Amino acid sequence: MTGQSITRHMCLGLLDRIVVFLLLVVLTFVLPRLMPGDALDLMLSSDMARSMSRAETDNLRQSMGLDATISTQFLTYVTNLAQGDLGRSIQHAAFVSDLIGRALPWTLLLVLAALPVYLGISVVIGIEAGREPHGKTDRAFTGVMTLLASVPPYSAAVFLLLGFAVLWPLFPASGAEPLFPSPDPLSRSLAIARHAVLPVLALSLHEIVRFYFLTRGEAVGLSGRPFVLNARARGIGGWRERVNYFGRNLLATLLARMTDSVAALFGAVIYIEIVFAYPGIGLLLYEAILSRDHVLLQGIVLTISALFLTVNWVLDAASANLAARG
Amino acid sequence: MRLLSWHPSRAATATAAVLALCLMLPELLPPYVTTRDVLQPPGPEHWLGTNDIGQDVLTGLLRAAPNTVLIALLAAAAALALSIPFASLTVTSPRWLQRTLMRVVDVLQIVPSVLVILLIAAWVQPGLGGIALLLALTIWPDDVRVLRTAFRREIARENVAVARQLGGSWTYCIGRHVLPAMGPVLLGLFLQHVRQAALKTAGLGFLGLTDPRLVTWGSMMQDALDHLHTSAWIWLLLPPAACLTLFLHGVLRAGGRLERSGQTLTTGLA
Amino acid sequence: MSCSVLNRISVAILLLNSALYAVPTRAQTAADTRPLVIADSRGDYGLLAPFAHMKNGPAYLYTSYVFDTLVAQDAQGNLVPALAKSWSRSADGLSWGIELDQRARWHDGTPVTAGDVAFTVSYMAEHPYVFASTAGIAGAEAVSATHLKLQLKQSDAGFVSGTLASLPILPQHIYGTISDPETFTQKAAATGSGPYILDTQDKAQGRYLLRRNDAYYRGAPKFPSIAIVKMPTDAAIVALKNSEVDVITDVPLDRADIIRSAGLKVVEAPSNHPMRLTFNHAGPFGAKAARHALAHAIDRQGLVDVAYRGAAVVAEPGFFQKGSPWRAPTVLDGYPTDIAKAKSLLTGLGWSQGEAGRWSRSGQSVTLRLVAAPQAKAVATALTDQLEAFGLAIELRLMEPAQLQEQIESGAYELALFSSSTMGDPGSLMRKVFGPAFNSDRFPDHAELRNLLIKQAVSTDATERLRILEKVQAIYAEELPSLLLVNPIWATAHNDRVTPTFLPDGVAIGIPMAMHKAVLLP
Repeated sequence: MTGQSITRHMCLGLLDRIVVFLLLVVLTFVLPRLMPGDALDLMLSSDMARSMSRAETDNLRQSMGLDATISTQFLTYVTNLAQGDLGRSIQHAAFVSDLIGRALPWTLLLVLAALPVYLGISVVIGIEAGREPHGKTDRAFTGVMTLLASVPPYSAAVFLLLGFAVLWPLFPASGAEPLFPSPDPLSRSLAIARHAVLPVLALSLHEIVRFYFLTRGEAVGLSGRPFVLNARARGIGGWRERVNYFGRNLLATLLARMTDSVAALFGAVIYIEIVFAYPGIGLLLYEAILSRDHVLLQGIVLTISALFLTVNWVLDAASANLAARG
Repeated sequence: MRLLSWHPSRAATATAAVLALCLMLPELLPPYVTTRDVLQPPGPEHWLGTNDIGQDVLTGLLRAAPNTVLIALLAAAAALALSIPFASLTVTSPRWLQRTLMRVVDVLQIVPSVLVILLIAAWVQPGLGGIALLLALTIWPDDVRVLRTAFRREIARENVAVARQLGGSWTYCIGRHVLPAMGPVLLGLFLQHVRQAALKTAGLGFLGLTDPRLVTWGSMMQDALDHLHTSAWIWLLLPPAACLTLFLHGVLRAGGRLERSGQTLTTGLA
Repeated sequence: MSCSVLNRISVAILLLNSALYAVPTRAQTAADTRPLVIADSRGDYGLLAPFAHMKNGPAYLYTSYVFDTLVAQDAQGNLVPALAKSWSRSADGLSWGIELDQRARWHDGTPVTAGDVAFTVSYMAEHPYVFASTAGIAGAEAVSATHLKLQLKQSDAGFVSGTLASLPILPQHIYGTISDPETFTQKAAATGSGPYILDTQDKAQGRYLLRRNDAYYRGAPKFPSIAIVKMPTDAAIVALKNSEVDVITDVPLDRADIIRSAGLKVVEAPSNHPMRLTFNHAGPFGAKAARHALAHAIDRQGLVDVAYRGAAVVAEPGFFQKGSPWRAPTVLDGYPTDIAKAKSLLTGLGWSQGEAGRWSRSGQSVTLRLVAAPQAKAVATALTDQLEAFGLAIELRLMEPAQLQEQIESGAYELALFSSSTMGDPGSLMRKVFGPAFNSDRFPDHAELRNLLIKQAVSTDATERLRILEKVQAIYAEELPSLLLVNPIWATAHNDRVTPTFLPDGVAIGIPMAMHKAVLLP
């Protein structure tokens, strides 16, 4: 690709992602309104709530902005979105952006901590296995990985929880922090790290498999290439061989696959936060689903999508650039 | 072990057999009813114990099997039923339309499908058919590029060119010459979808977002979550988790075998 | 080699562990000043202010720590003075005089006045509050700073227990300028006159910190501060054992033994929020005999054993449950399981049982649509199995509240299963039996029952009211506007720092929770 075509590629990519985002805006608006009942009905469905007169419910409906026509509601929705206002969650009595702002850092902590873990492990063992295809190491690693590939992220999370928090309580079973965080920043960070170990591990497991097979496949290809054979004949081995000859040549492929990986991570993190009751955005999303808080649900879906589409675009552009440089 | 060679016709027979079994199995099984024997450990009466409302876990497992497998097969077939015509259009239609269609695919491919599935499932709590449709709708755009490449390769072959010159319509040519030659690719994609769909169905069940009456391995695992702190997890959690993993593993192996026999270009795993 | 690596890792983990444990937690250093920690499996309840809290029982209860009502309940559930030092009723029951406690202060130090109460009444007329209604009040007048006169539209037997004890009083100097209280979520919105002041709230972690209102007019509350934290039940049990948590508001009863064996306490009581089977009275169950048949066909003890694993009791058919102050002392016939009787009742209605035992009605085989909320899955499944065994084909549908509401309003059901409150002042019985709401009995007109319900609601004589309610219960049990099936038992675990108790008629509006406000007061 030439420089010009890369620019074109990036512009088109951006356009696509804007289209997708707009589609999601429409979807998040339409879906809850297709279903019976509105936010007020839900609010009053508590068994302890007294029965309200028609005038009272009309009054409430009006103050909640539910009495407007669909088109007016949509217009308000889009205008507010454009101003970065995701609305208010009635159940939480808070601005959606506020709720997301508090939850997102925890999710990012998990994802960013998992990234080096799974990339590191999968690349190292992938190269190790692919250096000598069908050797002992390869067979062992590939066997284990094939099995792991069939363990869904929620199973992995549950078994990690069971193993290392319940049966052998090495790590805390839930939450991101102790009940009363220590005022000392160092011990507080240590406690946060301790709470993050199992979720990060569960999140990494799934991606390790994907990148292991990718790395191994590439490494198998490379191990037959003349420059590697030459290097080996010259006695180059150990770290130099693995880093300079395998590692470097893997970069482009890994980067290209990161796009899928980011999507998979966002999917898996929801399950993992639920299992570990980790107060991130996945748990918030799940609770919004359970409590039918559709304003919050909309806000979270749009935020995650925006985040995901941006990362996806940047990675796509980066790998296109890398591919162009060869 | 290479007892079976994975010809598409064999696969179709196998699928049909599995389908028939899925439909018949619930009739043959004892009813999945609540009893007073709640949370019984495995024993002669209940081989795999009972859950917290006295339902037999083994019966549940066997009843969940057709649901999970059926959804996966249906979703995979439906996804192909959508992507094949679409992909053939992207090869045979006029240039401008081809370009438009491919843009559509580009757009659909970057839709964060996990979120869309969650969003829709949250509102409609889909049953068996609904889940299959939902999964098919989010899976198919990923096929188009693979299929398009395969279509191009097949269409460039001599027999198609001859048929076209003799006045055969595209529908005829694709149905008669192109699709049969693409068997292995289609089978590869099919297996990949079955795996993905089973994984996602169980995931939805695990989150409790499917129709609560639909017993799946995922929903059985969810029910077990309340019992992690007692020994009941041994018979409530392990069996459905093992079944799911075994099924996924089986499909994976089948795909891997297909790949090793060099019949397809797609990668089953990553 | 790999073995030594593993060893090294585990040593490292152990070191890390001991390093972490060596850090003294706040809890260990200052046992006396540490907050009373209340663990709850549910999360965020919104802002603890009347219009901004979530619309459910626990949210109302926790808000009551911050906002006082005119009348309160003591640890036995008796009505005692709170913001109102005394109250009196005119002979016709239409006007009330209320004398406020002049020591009462808002959390910002401003005195609580009769003006605030009058303001609350008119403000709530304009901005309806879900848990208490001021609709019966015709006018409120502040005669002086501490004296208030209330005029009612009609005599109301439950005015003290139903309205005065459940209406949170709002500060006029704060809410006076707020036109949209649902969106007023600054901290000032939580300025109440209650024993605790909202300190901080962490929504992501689902945690509230409240500090003692040292100037509280009813005496300084017991605990310097309270933390309400969200925790999964099993994690909370571990924390309770480690003294990190003092109360778990909702523990499954099958964990009670584990907790008790650790030297901790569990209080339990029937929730009096029974599972109620309602009928579509426009369908086959419009006939009383059909309802009776169903009542005899259901093995309610079986439902307790299967769906609740014993953590429930069989419910009584006369609406009020054991323990309720409104329940008549006479024991009502509880429709014992009697399949033969059930069959003969149905046969008497012209139903017939075909081969394989399936019931049909006027030649058509019967399939009953049973709708329930997903939370009722276990009991709905067990009920379905029982009715299927009796020969009734059941189509069970579990759906979300909004969907359920639509389904019931459209009439596309025969049976519906709900959890519903039988607590609180019986003034609400009229709407619970005859009301149009989807979760009421939707019972067609029954002149005698209707008259009795009206009479008890306006009765000014307590004994007379109880006598009327006794008749109401007898008719309810005979007519079965709906069939009460099982009454789940709720349990709260705690340590020695605090003694939660379940109140016989629930907290204020009928919330079956043991951590009511009186537990926190001296």
